[in-house]
Amino acid sequence: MKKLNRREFLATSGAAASSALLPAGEAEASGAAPPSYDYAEAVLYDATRCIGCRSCQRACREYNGLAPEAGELNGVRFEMPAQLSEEHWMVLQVYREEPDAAAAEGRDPDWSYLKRNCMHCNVPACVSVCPVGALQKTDTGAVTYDEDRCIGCRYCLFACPYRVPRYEWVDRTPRVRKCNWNRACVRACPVGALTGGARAKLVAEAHERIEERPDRYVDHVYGEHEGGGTSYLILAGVGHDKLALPSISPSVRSSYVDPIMGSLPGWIVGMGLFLGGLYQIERRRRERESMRNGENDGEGPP
Amino acid sequence: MKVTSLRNLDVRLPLSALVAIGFGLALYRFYGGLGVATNLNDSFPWGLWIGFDMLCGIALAAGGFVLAGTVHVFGLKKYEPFVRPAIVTAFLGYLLAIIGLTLDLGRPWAIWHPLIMWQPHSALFEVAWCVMLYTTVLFLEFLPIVFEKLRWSGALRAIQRVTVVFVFAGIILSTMHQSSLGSLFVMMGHRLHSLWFTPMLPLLFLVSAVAVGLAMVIFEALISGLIFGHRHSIRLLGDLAQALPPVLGIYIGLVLMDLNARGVLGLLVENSLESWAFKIEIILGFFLPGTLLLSSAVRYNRMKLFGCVLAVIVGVVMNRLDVSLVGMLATSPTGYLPSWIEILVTGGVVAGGLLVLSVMNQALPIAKPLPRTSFATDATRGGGRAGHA
Repeated sequence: MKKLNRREFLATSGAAASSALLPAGEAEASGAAPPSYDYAEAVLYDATRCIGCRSCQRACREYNGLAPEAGELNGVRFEMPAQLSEEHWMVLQVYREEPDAAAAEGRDPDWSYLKRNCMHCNVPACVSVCPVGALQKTDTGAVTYDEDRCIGCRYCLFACPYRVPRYEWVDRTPRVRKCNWNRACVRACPVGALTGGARAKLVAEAHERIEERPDRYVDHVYGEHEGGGTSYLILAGVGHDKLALPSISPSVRSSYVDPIMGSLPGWIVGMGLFLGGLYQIERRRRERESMRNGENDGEGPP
Repeated sequence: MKVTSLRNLDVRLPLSALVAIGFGLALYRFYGGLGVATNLNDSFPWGLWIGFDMLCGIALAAGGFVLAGTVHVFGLKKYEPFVRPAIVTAFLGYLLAIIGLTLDLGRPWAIWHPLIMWQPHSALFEVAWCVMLYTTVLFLEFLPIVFEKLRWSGALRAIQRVTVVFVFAGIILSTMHQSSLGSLFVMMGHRLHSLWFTPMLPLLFLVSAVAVGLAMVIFEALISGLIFGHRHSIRLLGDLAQALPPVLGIYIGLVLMDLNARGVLGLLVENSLESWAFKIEIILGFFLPGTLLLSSAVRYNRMKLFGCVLAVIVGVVMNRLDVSLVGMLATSPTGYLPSWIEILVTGGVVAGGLLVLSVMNQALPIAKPLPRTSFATDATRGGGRAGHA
């Protein structure tokens, strides 16, 4: 599907200049740079250092008191969830290239682990769509969820470009479930594939690693610019498209709807004046008419 | 009179049965959770209850503000007899949408949270406020009908004195609300198919709501004419239908402009589910009726007019379902088809609306034979029955 970036969006809304509902707040929306959270706590995941032990996954489950998945591998009970769910707020996925495609080029197939969880965006779509502010981006870099505010509309599930939030579908008091940024996973990693620290420092470190070993990495720190940047950064030896991470333009996604919301006060005042004016004109016309007819049947309010 | 009540019972018994079934299944949904009763999942979190009950319900209720504006602001007094049925339909439509929403929300007991927990960046926050305020306005616009029936002429005169304020508030809230339902999907560029996803969705939703509002008013007048005997001259209905071709034309123009500006006109010649759904929606629901209604031979013929307004209604309902369901299929790994429970509950909600409408039509002076019912009315004249044969 064609992705719309900020420039294209503005061009489209320009083409639709006839639309009274659109632009208005555009200038401020495009002028403001997204908050960087450069000095908030971030996490860098280096997929080339990851050995796939899933200590992080187990730490996540234990820290958050989540039930283990009753999985089975070759008849042995073995927990190996591959997808995020209400019980798995982080999962370790594996990508492996089609062996035939690689063999045709005379090389070993590409492969990589990928630790998936909430990206903790700098300007999260889920926070911008939540009608009651149950989701918040805090100063610590975390995107938090407050079930006491949530009304269960599930707009966040729809709006998240990374498709992270999960829902307790079979529950009478359902909640949205996702990573809560406790960083138990970082502490659990035995090989230093996960690094915690200030975001600016981690971005710099990621670029250093790429520079030192350009053969080892794809030259892309995923999360540095995506959708205005994220607090969870991914470094890998395989392109993000192969890892099924979405390609997201640097523009802030929530800005699509901000100009629309920003135009509302103007719309209310404008419509009020327009309708009031029309009504006055219409009432005068009626009064003149009834005077001409020499009768007054009490039309119109006083 | 006996015949009428017998006939009423014929309709009301099956409707009541549907309501009872829907109610039972709704209890099951609250007992077991959404995942048990519906086919919704993490990759397809909004289904039939949002796509039909909410989006279509609100769109079909647009007749209320369109007619109120036509008569009270533009001063086209000859359409006054349509205002009351339109307001009653809109009021019911909103109540049904609220019921649908209550079923769909995971934590419906928190439905009032937007009142105190503000988050004005969210289109859904705007939707929530518009639903609350406009339902209140519709209730106030509906009250005179009750006062008239009860012959409370003092209360009636008092409320009619401020009718114009409700009308203004209603129009502003409706235009905001209809468009904000489109704004909801402006955040879903990564989900919604390119044929429908556009930053112009709020404007498109508003224009199509005006069209379907007009169509619904004519549709209802023709239907109630069939059941209770024709009360409105075909001349009046045809005149009102004159407004449809320009509105439908503007809509088609905006859609084509937008497809062209985004460079996706080519998708129209694709042979995919989305492409066909889009073409059927725009040709059947907008192009055909918009063109046919230009001819006075069509406009002033009850059957042909009926066909045209029905096409508009089907087209706009298709549009809302396309935006919320069909256009989302390709990006969902699981896909979605509503479960039988979702369908039956929706059926029960619609049946409940028809049931209440049928009772109200009998008990309240909604479709009065005399056209003068607005704030200009002499209050003491009211109180007539609904004009059954």
